[in-house]
Amino acid sequence: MIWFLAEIPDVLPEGFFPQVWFFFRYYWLQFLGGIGITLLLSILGTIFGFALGLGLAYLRKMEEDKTDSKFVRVLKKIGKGFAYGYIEFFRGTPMMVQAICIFYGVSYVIGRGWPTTVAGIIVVSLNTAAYMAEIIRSGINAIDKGQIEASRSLGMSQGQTMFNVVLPQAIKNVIPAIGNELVVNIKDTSVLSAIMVSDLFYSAQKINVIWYKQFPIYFIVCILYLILTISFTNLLKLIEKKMNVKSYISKPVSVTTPEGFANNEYIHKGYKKESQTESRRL
Amino acid sequence: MAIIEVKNVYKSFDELQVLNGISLDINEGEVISIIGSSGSGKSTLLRCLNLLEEPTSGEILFKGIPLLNKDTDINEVRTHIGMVFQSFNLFNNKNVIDNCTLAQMKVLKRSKKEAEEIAHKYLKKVGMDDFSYAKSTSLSGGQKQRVAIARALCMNPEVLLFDEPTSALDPEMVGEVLDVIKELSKEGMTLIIVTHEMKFAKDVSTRVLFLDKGIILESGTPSEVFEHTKEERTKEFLRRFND
Repeated sequence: MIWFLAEIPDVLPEGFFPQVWFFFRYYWLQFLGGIGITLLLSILGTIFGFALGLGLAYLRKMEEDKTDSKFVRVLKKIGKGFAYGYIEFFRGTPMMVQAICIFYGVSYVIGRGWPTTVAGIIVVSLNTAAYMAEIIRSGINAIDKGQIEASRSLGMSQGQTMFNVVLPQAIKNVIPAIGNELVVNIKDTSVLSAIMVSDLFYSAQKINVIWYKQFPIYFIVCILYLILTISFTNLLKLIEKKMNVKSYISKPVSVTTPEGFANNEYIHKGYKKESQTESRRL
Repeated sequence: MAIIEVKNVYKSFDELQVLNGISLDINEGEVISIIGSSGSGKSTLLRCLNLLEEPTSGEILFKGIPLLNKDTDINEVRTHIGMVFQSFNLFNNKNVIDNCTLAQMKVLKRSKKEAEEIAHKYLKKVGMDDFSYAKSTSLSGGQKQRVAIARALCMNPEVLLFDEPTSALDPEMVGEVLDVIKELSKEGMTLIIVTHEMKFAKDVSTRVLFLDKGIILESGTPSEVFEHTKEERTKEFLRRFND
């Protein structure tokens, strides 16, 4: 038999570390499968959650416009109320309870079981959406009102202003918080074992049922989660760095004004100091 | 016919009464400077003209269209009334040329090519064409304000509102912005300028309004207001600038 698919012996070795090695050696494939599901859940959940959160944040930030018809006004009110209720509900209840309610609730309605992994993705997405909405909303609030007024003064509608001016900046500003949500999801998907989603945590539970050796098994799980979160944190840091990179391409700078001289000097040195006028303006 | 008619406009923010019954006719080609101390309501009046602030009562007509009417498409009207702000308000996520083309493409449905041609034309006019592809955040205050003026001009507005366009600028940059505004005034564009630059107001305007406590206390040609001042309150205000 090849090494990595060796048959599992009947007896457990003595001592903690030999046992850790034993479980890792013979059950690595299960752990790997669990990691796969955990990553699938958290990555898809974060992506869908972001998309939904964007919609929710938009609903919450809608304001009545003078030109709106009565119908639009009512729609906006309903949308705002829905987003508010949604966010309150999903942030105010534990994800484990949400998972059980949604999974068994749907099973109850359709009268049969349904794939737990799909249920898991849905639960994570719905839950993440509530947090994402708040993250994006804070990003939107941080955009100065002047840019919105400028956009409106040019005749752009509320929606056009949102999509072309506000959101691109708001999202860029909250990228670190969005990445943080992903890392949180990697850890928090462990509660989905409650509906038997076969993620990393559940794979350990399955092994534990056979051997009843909690400490060595969950020790491995612990290390694996740590490896996942640390690698993703660093990966995200790299991406952030890439996205925030300032362009040092020389741009035409007027040399006839004092600040033109200053800017030129900075570009030659390879860095660009925040424009002096920026700070003086206040 | 007056291009903008303001009829008995009142505006209050909660308890604070800012405009106390303003009536004003603005004719095509006029250059109007609005002066007055802080809190006199000049910016609020200006912002009411394109409905960035909604008056509490009264009426504002643009070419006979009542702005406060529910059926009026304010976005359409705003394309005819440009505005330049004290703090420039360029879109930070866009470079100079995109700042100028965005609304042209989204609101006026111009093609990208056409919008860029128009943008270059007006950027040249304000002397910022060389910076077309610079990030808006990398510009100096005076440069930002000139781009903001070009951005407003790209919509081919009939009226341009200036809300203290030079108040946030370093003294040495005020000139470059005022020169651009002066240039526009010579071309016969209707301009309404809220300003603290008295000398500029005197040079450029056809009419000067002095606002105090939400009413137009004094109005007339620059020489009438600055040299043959009638009201004691206006004299007192102007004295501070002459000292």
